[in-house]
Amino acid sequence: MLSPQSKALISLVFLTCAQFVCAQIVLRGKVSDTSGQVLEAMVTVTDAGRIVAHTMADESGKYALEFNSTSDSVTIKASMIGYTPLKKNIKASSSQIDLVLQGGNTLKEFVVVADKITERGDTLSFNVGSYQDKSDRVIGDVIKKMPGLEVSESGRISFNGKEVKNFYVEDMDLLQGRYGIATNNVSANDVASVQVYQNHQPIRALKDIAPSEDITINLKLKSSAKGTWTISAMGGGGYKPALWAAELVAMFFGKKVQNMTTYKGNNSGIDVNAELKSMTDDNLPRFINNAPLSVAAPPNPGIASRRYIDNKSNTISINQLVKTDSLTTLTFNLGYYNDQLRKSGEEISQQYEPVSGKHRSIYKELKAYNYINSLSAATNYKRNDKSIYLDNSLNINTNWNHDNGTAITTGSFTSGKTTVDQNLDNPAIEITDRLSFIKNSGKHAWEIYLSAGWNHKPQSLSVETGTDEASQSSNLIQNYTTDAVLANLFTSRSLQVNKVRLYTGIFTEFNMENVKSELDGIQLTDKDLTQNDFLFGKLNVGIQPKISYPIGNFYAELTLSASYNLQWLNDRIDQSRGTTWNYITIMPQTHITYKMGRNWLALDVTYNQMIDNSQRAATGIVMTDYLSFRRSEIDRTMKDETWLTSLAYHFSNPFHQIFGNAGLSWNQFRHNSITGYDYDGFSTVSINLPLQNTANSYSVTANLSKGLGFWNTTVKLGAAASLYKGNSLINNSLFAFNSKTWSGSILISTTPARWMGAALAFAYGENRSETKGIEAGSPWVRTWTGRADINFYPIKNLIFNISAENNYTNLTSGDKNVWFGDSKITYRRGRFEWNLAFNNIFNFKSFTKVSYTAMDIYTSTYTLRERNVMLTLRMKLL
Amino acid sequence: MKIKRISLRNLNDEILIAILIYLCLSPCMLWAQRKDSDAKISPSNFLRSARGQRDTVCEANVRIRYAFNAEDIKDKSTWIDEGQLKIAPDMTDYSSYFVEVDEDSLAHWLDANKRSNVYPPARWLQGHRPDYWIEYQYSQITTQDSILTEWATMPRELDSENLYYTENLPLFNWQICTETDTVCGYECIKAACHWRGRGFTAWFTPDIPVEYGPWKFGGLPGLIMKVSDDDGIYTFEAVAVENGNFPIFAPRGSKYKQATRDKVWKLQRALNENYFKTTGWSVFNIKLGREITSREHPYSQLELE
Repeated sequence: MLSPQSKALISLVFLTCAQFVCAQIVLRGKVSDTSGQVLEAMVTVTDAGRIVAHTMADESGKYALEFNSTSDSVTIKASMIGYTPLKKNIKASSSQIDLVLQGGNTLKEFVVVADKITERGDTLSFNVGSYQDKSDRVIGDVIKKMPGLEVSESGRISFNGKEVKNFYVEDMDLLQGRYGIATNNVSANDVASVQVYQNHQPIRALKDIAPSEDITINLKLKSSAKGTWTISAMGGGGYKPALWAAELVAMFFGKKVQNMTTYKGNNSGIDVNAELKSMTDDNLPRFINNAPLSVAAPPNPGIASRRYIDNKSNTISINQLVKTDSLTTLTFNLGYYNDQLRKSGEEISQQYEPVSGKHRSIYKELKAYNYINSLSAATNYKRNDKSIYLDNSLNINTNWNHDNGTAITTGSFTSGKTTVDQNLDNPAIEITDRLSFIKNSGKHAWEIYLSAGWNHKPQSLSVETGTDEASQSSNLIQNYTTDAVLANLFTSRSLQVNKVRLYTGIFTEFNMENVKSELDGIQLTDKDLTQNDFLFGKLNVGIQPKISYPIGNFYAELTLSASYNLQWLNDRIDQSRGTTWNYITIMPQTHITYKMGRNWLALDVTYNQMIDNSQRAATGIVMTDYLSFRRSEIDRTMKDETWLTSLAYHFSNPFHQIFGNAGLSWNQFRHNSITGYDYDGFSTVSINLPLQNTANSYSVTANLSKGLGFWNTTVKLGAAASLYKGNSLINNSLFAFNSKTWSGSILISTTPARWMGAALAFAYGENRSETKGIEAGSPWVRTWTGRADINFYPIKNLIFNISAENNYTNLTSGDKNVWFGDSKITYRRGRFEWNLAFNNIFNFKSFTKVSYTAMDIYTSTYTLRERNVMLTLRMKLL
Repeated sequence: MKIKRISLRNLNDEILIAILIYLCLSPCMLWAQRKDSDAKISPSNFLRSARGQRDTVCEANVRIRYAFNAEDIKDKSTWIDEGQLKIAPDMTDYSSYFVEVDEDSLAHWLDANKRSNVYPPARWLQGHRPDYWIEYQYSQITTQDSILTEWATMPRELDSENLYYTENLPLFNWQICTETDTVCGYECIKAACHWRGRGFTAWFTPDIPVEYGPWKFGGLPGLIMKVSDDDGIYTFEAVAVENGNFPIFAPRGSKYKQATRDKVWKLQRALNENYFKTTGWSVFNIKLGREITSREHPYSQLELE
């Protein structure tokens, strides 16, 4: 064996000699692929690790290389984009070498600085990878961190202060507004970018006609997630009480077919129904009837639902989209929801008695069970052609709900307890159909919107009252059945004259409600007082001319609707009350925007007039819950006038990841009557007097969000203040009433190190209501919520999460501070994800909320889920 | 060191001469070229492209993007330009990615706002002083059949003076070294040459087997991922390697007059050095209270000969 020194010496000698024995070598040959096709490939020769010659093969694939070498052998390499490089060690002598390359090789992609946000016209693309953290599982987690995008507690997304109107996956509207299904289930790893289409007009036939300010979100998937089924399952259990959770999610996003099918069930406090609700339902036709009966339940405490929901939920959602050609889509959505919700808590109402000038208290201990079964089916056909747009949606919603509950009531003015058992049958069925048809022939455009619907809601509430003295127990049964039909038609024809577009619109709105109700168990001399049997209808026929005018950066739109309004009542109990009313209403509306680059200013002024007789229809007593009886003795038409004025400024600079908006609004409400309250025993009696009154509300809001260049940080700031000045009716006279509210919030999400990520949020709010001349110095209600959510990544597959939340209310007599602590350990390996969660570590068992309206203060305490631990396994099946 | 724009007219002749002597005598000018001239871009050039008058010549399936004179490679606002080299089987095209994004965005915007008689100029342009002109951003270099063509788009006042010339693919006498480094995720080999008056160092990768590079650079057995001159005034560094379909567009605007390399080269230098004097245009400066008809800027052209 030679020592390294000897090897080096020998090498040196050889190298020196090589200077003299250097030979010129010529290599020639041809490069082709396996099918014999010649390739203009690059050919290089490497001698002792150094490239000594290179050339490109010519059009006939031939190459020739000349070089000098002293070595015995050299390496020849042929390579070309799209082919696997071929390397051969050959003897260092002139020779003919043909090289054959194999295809199927692409370049390794690499990006040094991926743009966090890219902008193409009015489209912003947020790169998911730039905002994603190891702990983010679904796309909704990542959207929360993107500057400019806000996700509310209910899952609604807004972009820079404007709510999202459409939500697409791969530019297809599979979920028809139920986009929670996408944000809660599509894996963040499958999405390349979240695109925000600003000023998006989804109707091609209206593209050049009606400028749109709507926001659409589109999830652009990675190519690996397209055209393939993704199926995942989750299951787990916990204690205490015995907890379980299960999930099965399947999805497919192809070029012509999309499907998302989910099953979710649990009793562990996860609100699985929230994602089945449509979040873009503004255009749904509204029925005039509602189902008024309810079982008394403690009001929601206003904290995260998983803290307090006591549930046994099951949901199934099936969504299917088929694209029959490039312009036509057919969508089918089915949702089923089954639940048993248990709510328990206490409520103290401090009611101001005008006569004595003092507050009296009612204390209620409430327990309620909701048994929910609801099924909804929807189909949509859409043809989105440049000249013709046709869209039809048919929705059927049905539920067969049943509620029961117990209320134990005591009052400061009585002795003893009253226990009430309540039972409510609450089924409903509703069918609606909406049709849109638009024809665009260049200069003219003709639009037709048609909607029709029917609903049927038969309710039955039974109330069994037992006091301390059992002999006084009584039983009341309220039956209330309401049916409604609606049919709306709006048609408009527009004409372009130079820059101005003139619209002539005609609309017809038909609404009818049929009510049949009966209260059993009350002994009254006039039996008719316990019954209602009437039909109330409204017909509104009018014209709606509109003019729109773009002048440079200005865009102005003026709408004036004038209508003839017919209302009628047919009372089957007292035929003499049957009558009709006629009105003419005129409602103007303006909308002006001014664009400055990416920033824009919008001014809206709207006048609304509402004339309504529906409140005088029901003269019979209706028990809406065990403490409330409703009866209308009003014989007057309600007239409400509203002026809404708002000014909003939106600005953005995507290159610097900054988005902000500020708004001012002033609304004025004029009413021809006012409602006040008086109390009779436990019952509340509402009084309505014909006193002309005016209320004004003023508000200011500002929001700012910014993505920072370091630590992947996003900061979101929000502030709002409002003042309401109106009147309240006390002792049959008007008193000036005002309420002030202001709030501020900050949210920071950051990844300061590879092993750590954090989200911090703080919100503070104050509000106060005052009635002048009655009681001075009403207290300020101060609340804040602070939350810290910290993730640690000690090793590659492990996530350790701890979070703490503090909720403070100054007016609570008990614990002003309620602390929540949770911890979670997640371990991922291959297609499995184990999750061990400890919830409500500090074991706070109840949460108290204080609110007040006018002179009354309401304190409600809700029972929370106790401390528990839960182990789940999530796995990717496909 | 970054040279800030200075108004030479305001200085005493002595100071001026002293500065000029200093600049001439300074052993090496170790500053990166920024956009320092008074030349602004002409929006009408991009408007024409955005209005659909952009013809696709062919489709490339590989695109390499380069940061040009980046002060901080992670921060695009410090880049003079993001260039893009599109490689099609028969030709290559080096042009500005920033400008293409702006054109695309403007096209989208015009499509959505068809009836608008105003448009947001340069709203989507990125980088250092985005509305200013420099030839390395506004020239398009195409190579085909061993011929290189520079399509030189001129600044605002010379909008109708867009020029083009052709030359044979330049020969670089590269010396391939043994040093290696990683650029944009690719293992690269160092090479050096002296070309048109400057010494250049390039880092090329044999893993992308083409003889091309940014601007006019090429001739190595692998794609040039990074190239800079020895004084550190000019640097192109790859920041993205992408597969896909990337259309190569015909040069923007319509009027390109044929010229020679010498003419284009001299005009570009003159525009950078003294824009007002070269174009005969002037601006009224409110601060100075007079018209500026000449203002000189220090400039060291990439190709010195």
